[in-house]
Order: sequence, then structure tokens, then C-alpha cells
Amino acid sequence: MVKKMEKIEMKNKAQHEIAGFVLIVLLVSIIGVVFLSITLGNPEVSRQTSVEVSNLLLSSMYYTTDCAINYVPQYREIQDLIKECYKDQSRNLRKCLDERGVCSVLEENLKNILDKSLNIEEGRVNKAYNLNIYYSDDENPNEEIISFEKGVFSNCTSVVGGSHPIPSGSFESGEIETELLVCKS
Amino acid sequence: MKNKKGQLRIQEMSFMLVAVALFFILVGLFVLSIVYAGINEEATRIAEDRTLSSLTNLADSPEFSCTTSKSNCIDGDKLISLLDKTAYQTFWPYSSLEVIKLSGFGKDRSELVECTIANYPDCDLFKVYDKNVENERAISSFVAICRKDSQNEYIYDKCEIAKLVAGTKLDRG
Repeated sequence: MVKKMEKIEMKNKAQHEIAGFVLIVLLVSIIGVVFLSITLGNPEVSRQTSVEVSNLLLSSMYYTTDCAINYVPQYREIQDLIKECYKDQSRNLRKCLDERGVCSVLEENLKNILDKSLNIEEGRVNKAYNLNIYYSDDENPNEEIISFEKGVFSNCTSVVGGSHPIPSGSFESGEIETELLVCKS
Repeated sequence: MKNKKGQLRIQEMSFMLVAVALFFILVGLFVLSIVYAGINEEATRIAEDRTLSSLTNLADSPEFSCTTSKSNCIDGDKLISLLDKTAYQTFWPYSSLEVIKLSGFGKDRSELVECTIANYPDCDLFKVYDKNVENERAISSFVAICRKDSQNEYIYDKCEIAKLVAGTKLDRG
């Protein structure tokens, strides 16, 4: 009888231990699932500053376009055209000598540079890009001057970017900011 | 008999402890592998950015820099005079050095028109030097390339985009 009781007690203890172990495993599993759902549930695409993109943006600012505003051959650089485009949008109509609008020439030249430099294509390293140029001062934060993109900004393994400020000079107190983001696959 | 029971319990307890410890170690390793998954990638990116910065410094060196105060800008007229100067092969720590203009982007290597005094500026590729090393890794950075041009008897700066490509010899490990 005593032996039987001892056996039952041993069995009970073993059951308790197994239950305890299962409890610990369950608890850790739940914590693991919660942790994974937080980290993998909304994967934040890493967004980093890239020297390559910053250099491309900086170099493109110096690109000489085929737009002269005052006389030929005073052809404007991209950074000048950005300022002229901002003036144009502020109802101070600006045109090249050949009657083309400064903003359209700016967009055309920037697209040409970025398309050739970044070689955007599905299956390539660079999947898409987004260029955003805006004017900022105390009264008007982020007033868009020009903005366009190529490719599809989805399923990027990382997004690298660069920015370059252009002092708006004598005509305004604020600053023009250029931002380029590239979606890497 | 009691001694045997005690031993069994100690054994049981020790197995249990080992199992729990192993379980926690595995969970810990799993968590760590997720948290630090991006570290290698980040290290590679930082190393690449450093190398690219060295190219920016090269573009800003007196041998290449534009006469106007533009950073990350190469003077095309200086560059054309640098071609075939063998002395520069030992001057910079690169095994090869070349500049590809925007007109050459996306073209095959064989399609690129190499720049000489005769065809400048209607060309795509400036080959500064090439030591023809076997195991080479090329790094490139975007730069502006400017030259003097003239129209209607006016001289003006004409700037384009280019890629400064530098090769470094890889040591076989």
C-alpha cells in the first residue's frame, strides 16, 4: 500500500515537472512569436545616406543645360534652373531664349541625367528613384518645386538617398533642398 | 533503495536543467541572429562609402579639380593632358584610373570612344592609366566634368556628369 502511494506521488511529481516545462516552453514561444511579429510584421526598409547618390546629386547640379535666359552662350546649370523654376512658379514667368519653359527644361535634363546614371530597370540593382526638390523657409515649409520618380518603389531591400541644399540667394530668405532616393533590389 | 531514488531524482533534475538551459540558449541564438542580421551588410556599406570618399578627394586634388570653386568636379582640359603620363601610375594608390562621360553610360566597353587630343571632347572614355593587374576591383563615383567651350566669341564653362572609376588590386588571401 505504502509502495503504491509512493509510486503515485512520484508520478504526480513527474507530471508537475512536465507541466512546468511545457509552461516554460509555451511562455517562451509566445514571447518569441510576439517578438517576431513585431520585427517581421512591419519590416522597416533601411534608409541610409549614400555617398554615391549624394555625389550624383551634387554633380548633376553643375550640369550645363541648353537653356540660356539672357544671352547665348550663358547656358544655365541645373542649380540655376531650379532657382529659375522656383521664380517661374512664383508668377515671375521665366523662359529660355528659345521660348521653352524653364521648369520643363529642368525636368527633361534631370530625367536624362538620372535615367542614364542610375540605369533603372526591374531586376537591376537600382529598381526605382524619386527626386524631390522643394523650397523651405519659416513660412513655407516644403513648398514643392519639382518632383518625379521612375520605377516602382516597392519591395526595396534598402533605400539609399542623398540631399543637397541650394542657397536661394538674393531673391528669398529660405533654402532650396534637393533630395534623391534610390530603391535598391 | 532510498539512495537509488535520490540519485534518480538528481538525474531527472539535472536532465531537466540541461534541457531548459539548451532551450534558452537556442532561443537566445535565434533572437541574436535576427537582431544582428544587418551588421555585416552595414559594415560593407560603410567600407564602400569610405572608398568612395577617397575618390571624391581624388577629384578635388589639384591635378583634377575644376578651376571654378566647385567640389567633386574634374577639369576635362586638365584630364586630357594627363593621359599617357606614366609618372602618375605610381602617384595614386590605384591600379587603374579612368573617367567615363555621361555619353558613355550604358554602352558596352567596346562601344566607348576613347579620348585622345585629336577627338576631345567628342569621346566617352578618358583612360588616365592602367597597370593591367590581374585581380582588380573597380570602384566608381559620380563627378562633374567641366571644360571651356566657346560660342559667339564668348567662352563659357560646359559641365557634364561623369564616372570616375578607380581600380584597386585585390590581394589573394
